Amino acid sequence: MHLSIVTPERVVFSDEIEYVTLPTEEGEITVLEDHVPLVGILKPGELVISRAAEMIPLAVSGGVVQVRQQMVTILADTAERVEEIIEERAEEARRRAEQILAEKSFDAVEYAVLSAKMEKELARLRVARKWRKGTGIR
Amino acid sequence: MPSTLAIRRQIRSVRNTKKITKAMELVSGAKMRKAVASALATRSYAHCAWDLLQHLATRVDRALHPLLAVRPVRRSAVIIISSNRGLCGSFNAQLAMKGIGAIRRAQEAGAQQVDIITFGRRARDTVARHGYTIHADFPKADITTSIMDIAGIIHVITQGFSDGSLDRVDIVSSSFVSSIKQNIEAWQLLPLVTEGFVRTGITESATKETAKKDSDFSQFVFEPSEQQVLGHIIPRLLETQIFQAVLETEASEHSARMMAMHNATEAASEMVGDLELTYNRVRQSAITQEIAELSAGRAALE
Repeated sequence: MHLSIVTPERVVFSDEIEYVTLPTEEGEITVLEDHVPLVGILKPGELVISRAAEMIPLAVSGGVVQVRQQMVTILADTAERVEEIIEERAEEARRRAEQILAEKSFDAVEYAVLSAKMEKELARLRVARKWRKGTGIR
Repeated sequence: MPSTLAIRRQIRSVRNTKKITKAMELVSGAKMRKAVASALATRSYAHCAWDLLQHLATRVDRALHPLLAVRPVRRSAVIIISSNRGLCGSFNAQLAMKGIGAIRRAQEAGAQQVDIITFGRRARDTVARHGYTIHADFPKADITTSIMDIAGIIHVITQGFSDGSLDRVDIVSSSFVSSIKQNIEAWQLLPLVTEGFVRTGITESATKETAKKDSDFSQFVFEPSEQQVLGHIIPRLLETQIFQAVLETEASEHSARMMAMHNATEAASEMVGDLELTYNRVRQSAITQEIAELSAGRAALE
């Protein structure tokens, strides 16, 4: 099964894999070989790729997943490997967003943008913390 | 015969022009690299998005989302993307001409009204000079970096298409092939076409691949629901397409300008060479003349 993860900035991943676990709006799903064709909305969270007995965790911040025969395409807004997430910076970004959210009043659009940002930063942090401690990547 | 002084003056002026065009070539070279990098970076995303859009359009009930509708064309819109600055050869003229072609085609196809939307100053001016009324013009930054920069266009067309006042949207843009080749084309954005539709450059391979796999399966599973998924992704995927078209046009613009300036620099060098030759010839003939006069004078004295 081939998986490609593309973001507006770059192609993050493109390779043969065994299965992938993704966070969708309805909850976490795992896509294995011969999955039925599917289109789903991703929400910010953790995405785990299993390739040749190796687990690759990524933090995604929403997007679209499309499953076709033997082919999974993920159009993500952003996707980062755990190694790339700088925990301090993510924490700081989250705190900043939280602060702005608490201080000012907004119109609906601004509010939506900010709370989406919060959610995204939280997802990054969660993934980074979990995988660094759990598997001793660092 | 012009005087040596006049020729020398002309050489100096051409040399100065050459310095300017050379500098402009270097500047657009740098800008081109930046614009090309950002166009190429988002290309695979746009490519996948377009692929997905086409897939969806064939497989779902078109009544499920207003942007999937197909209606007889009464009012259509043409978006013409161009640059703000000139000095890039025939680039903007070609865009404007393609745009006018697209407008005429829409009129011939039976559209009662064609809205012209321009993004970029050059094509706007040319199209307006040809006597067309511009429906909306959006100011374009020299380098578009964020999708927010084109939010206005997106709003106008998605709104218009959803409420049924627009039935068709075409885009005239340039797709970047290489620094010496740009494809200027008019293509249909809405309604989403699927059958035998090939857009050069970006989507050619994807469309072929799709056609091959079509028989493999029929229906998608949607998560959470068909309606929610379509409502979420279709507007965003469309945005991506327009954004990509803008980025590609910018990359093309800078490469067109670089080529134009390169040609200008070369033409200037050639001109300086020609002028120098003329200058030397004039100088030499003046000397020869003087010598002839001198020796004639001496011969008369003897």
